[in-house]
Amino acid sequence: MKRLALATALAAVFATQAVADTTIKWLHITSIPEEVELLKAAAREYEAANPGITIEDQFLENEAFKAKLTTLLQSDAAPDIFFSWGGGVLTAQVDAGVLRSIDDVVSPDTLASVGSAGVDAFTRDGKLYGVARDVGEVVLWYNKKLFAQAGVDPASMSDWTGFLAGVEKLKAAGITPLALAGKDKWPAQFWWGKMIVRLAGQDQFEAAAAGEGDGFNAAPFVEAGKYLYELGALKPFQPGFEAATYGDASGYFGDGKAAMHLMGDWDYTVMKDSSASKAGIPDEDLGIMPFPTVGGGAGDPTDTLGGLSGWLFSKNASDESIKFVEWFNSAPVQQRFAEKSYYIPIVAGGADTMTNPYKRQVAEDINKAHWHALFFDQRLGPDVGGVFNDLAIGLAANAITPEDAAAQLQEAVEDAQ
Amino acid sequence: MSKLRKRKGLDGVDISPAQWVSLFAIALFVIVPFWSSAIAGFKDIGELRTTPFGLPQSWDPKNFTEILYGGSFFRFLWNSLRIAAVTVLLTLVTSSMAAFALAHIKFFGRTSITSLFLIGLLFPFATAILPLFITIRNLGLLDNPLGVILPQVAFNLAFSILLFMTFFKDLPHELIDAAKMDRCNYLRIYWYIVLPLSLPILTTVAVFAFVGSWNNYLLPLVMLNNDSSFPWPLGVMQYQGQYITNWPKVLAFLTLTTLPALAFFLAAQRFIISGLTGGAVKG
Amino acid sequence: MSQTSVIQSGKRSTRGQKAFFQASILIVPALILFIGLVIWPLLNAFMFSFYKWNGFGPLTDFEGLDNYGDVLTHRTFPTALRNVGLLAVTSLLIQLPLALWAALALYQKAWFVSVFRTLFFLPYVLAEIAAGLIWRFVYDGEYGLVPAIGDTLHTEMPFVLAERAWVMPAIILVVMWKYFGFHMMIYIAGLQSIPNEVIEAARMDGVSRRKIMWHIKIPMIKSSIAISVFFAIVGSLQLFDLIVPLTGGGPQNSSHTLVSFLYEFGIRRMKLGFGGATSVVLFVICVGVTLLYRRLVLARMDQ
Repeated sequence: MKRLALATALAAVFATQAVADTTIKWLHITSIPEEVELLKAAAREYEAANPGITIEDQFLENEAFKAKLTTLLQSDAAPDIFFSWGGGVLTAQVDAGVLRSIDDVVSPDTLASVGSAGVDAFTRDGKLYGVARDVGEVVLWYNKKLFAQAGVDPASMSDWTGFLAGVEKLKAAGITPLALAGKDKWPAQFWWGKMIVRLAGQDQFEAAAAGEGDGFNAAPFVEAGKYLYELGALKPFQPGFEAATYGDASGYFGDGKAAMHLMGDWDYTVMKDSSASKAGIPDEDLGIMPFPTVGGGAGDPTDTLGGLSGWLFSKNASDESIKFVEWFNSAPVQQRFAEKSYYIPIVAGGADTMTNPYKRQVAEDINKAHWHALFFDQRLGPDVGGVFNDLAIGLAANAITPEDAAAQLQEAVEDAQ
Repeated sequence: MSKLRKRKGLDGVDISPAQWVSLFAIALFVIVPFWSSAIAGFKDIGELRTTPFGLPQSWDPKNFTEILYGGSFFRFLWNSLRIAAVTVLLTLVTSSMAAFALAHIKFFGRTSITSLFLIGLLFPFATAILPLFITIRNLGLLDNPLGVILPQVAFNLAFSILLFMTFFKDLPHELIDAAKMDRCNYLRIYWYIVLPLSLPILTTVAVFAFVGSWNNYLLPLVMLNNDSSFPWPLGVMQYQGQYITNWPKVLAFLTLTTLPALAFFLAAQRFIISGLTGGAVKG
Repeated sequence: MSQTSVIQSGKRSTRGQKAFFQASILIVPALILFIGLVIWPLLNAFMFSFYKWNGFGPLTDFEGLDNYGDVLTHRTFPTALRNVGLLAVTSLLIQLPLALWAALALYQKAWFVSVFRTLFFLPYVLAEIAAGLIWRFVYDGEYGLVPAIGDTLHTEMPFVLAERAWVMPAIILVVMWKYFGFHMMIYIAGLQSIPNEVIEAARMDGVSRRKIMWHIKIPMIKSSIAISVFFAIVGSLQLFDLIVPLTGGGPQNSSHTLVSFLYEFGIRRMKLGFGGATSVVLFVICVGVTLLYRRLVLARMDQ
């Protein structure tokens, strides 16, 4: 470890010297070839406008990225810029001192353009570590045709009782009400997560996550579990859901075999790609319904659950890399990505070119949201987040009681303190 | 097995009809999953999910051609080949030497060292990753193929040494004793007597070491950063998206990358099956 | 007499030293690699097991034996133990006899025999991620082979990978498919080393094929069988690569093995102290098994 400290000190000395020719290493998880092309084109454009700067972009697949990041950030090969979903992992990285804060370089314009939510998501202990890139929301997709077939009116499902009734009616008509990817576990967290957002609201959640009071043993969280348990008891999911991957579930929904799918806005594209027909559910049959309300919850009805991702900088990142990201994240550049609906840029004006009506709706929802809750498995960190996912699928499969789930979650939070 | 008629089949091969039937049954059991994998490359994601065993709707080799003409495929294969070849060589040399010493030379500390090597089998690789990373980083071998090769060889040692020891112990003692009587030193015994007689086991260990290295994903992921040095398991990542994986592309890729390992095995078989010519003991 | 014995003992000691020196040359390369890249990480993992550590920075959070307590009392730990036990037992009772049977048929020289050998070895060559994926297709309750088999038998087949009762048998089948070729090759290498004269002599003496198999061939590859048994047991204890693509440890964490347990609850959750403790526990179990193996199997073999 001493050698590491020495090496770091030396590196710091060299880094502070102004170097005329800078190479910027940029690690991303974008694999769609057309999107990667846009990325590379932007890099080339910046290089042309800024001689002396070379940008090397590198791709790692999702799981590989997560597996490698810890070791990567502790080596000399750490990239200047890398992708992040924020949340607990960011906190761990800040605590470990492997990141560089960017307050000294970032301009007030950038801060304003990204918005307060964007700034907050990447701030820890008053210091800003990253530039927010995009937002996403978990929404309840539904298949209008199947609903009509079963004679269910989506409006009748706006509250929880109506929702359960609708689910039963769909089942009676021989239609699978919900698609759920049980093997991957993380989709299950959306059900429990949405319930917690409705019932506990921002303040209570943040308090519990910080380990205050009864934490997750408090009533709203147990309640939230009860609702999910109740839903699971109706057996609304597709057969074999516990072995289904996200691709399986999404394709199942895309094939028109399930009536609803609680999933992120990105499912719009994934559902089509995974379906047997490659076309998925045609737009005229596809809708987003509001998540059912539950009586007397502390949550605000405009609260949303979703993601807020962005770019972080490793400890020895150059000032130039920060300036590059500021440029990359500007509205004109981001509009190119929004146009193809690759993601919903957070920067003001970035989403202007978005034509996809569903994505526009999502962007509006998030803008109006009182609380845009970050996916709980990200927010709570890799340890407690993993427990959260496990418990969520357990509740959905009725393998665990709501009280037990809340207790285990609380236990995990306490252990992690 | 009930009474089987002794039957000298073609070329004097001694396999009964009942055995043939069972062999074909097992062959079916083995092949069916592969069939799915081989034709998967011709399908779309949705098609693969809904008809994994049916014939593809179209035999469009688009996935295969995109991979082969993509530019990076052969580079990945070459990287994998280099790493595997050196791993195999080093594994064979170090473990056969050590195994011979442990099997045939009586020296102080022999059983303790054998037990030490045994430990390598009893320890899961997944936990070693982080400390191994730190060690390789300290040696300055990060982003260097040796940073992948050396740990692979080290982790191969346990089972290779064990396998070699098993076979060396079974070698005819008379040969070795005769050589010792002639004042042959152990190094020469190893080189001129033991190695030539051990072709079957040398090739078997070589095959295992090759396959292990060929399919290794976690170690290169952690040790290598520059994608120009990536072996194919890291190359396959480009088909894994942020949300879903393009399985048909991945399986097409895997089908193509399994072929070299298979070729190695076929070539190696000739050595495994060469067998002893006998007479060495009598003569 | 005494003079020669002095000379002889002198010779013996220099021969002893010479032997030691030559042995060293032969062993040292392996030993250096092994100690540096295997033993050292093992000791490190042993050290982490006493700390709470997320992989970043130095070890600071000493926890004593807490991690061990967490591992041994973890809800999923007994399941993982049970599962590796099941894998080991079925390996010994089904997989190994199958591999032996195949080796006895296929060790001979002939091109069509080598076709079968290659075929049976093929699953071992295939990367785990592919094997896991393909078998998921086989077991898929809607589109896979399992429902097709169910249709022909006119029974309803369960969604195998989603049912706690069926998931382990399903995994065991995949493990057998993947690894029996490995054991087969070990036996073949052994059978190949049996001098032909021995078999010929027995045949000419009119010994039946069955007797040749049981009383000559199998005993002569006793040590290959012994080592393959050892690999099978230890391999079962260490199984990991197939679990992740097949089930991810599910449903409800019912199909975890000790190493997938370590990976999921230790490494993925960035609780490396917990991971370290699990690997030490696994190590202790393996050592226990090895000692037991030595006593029961190797001792009997030396008779």
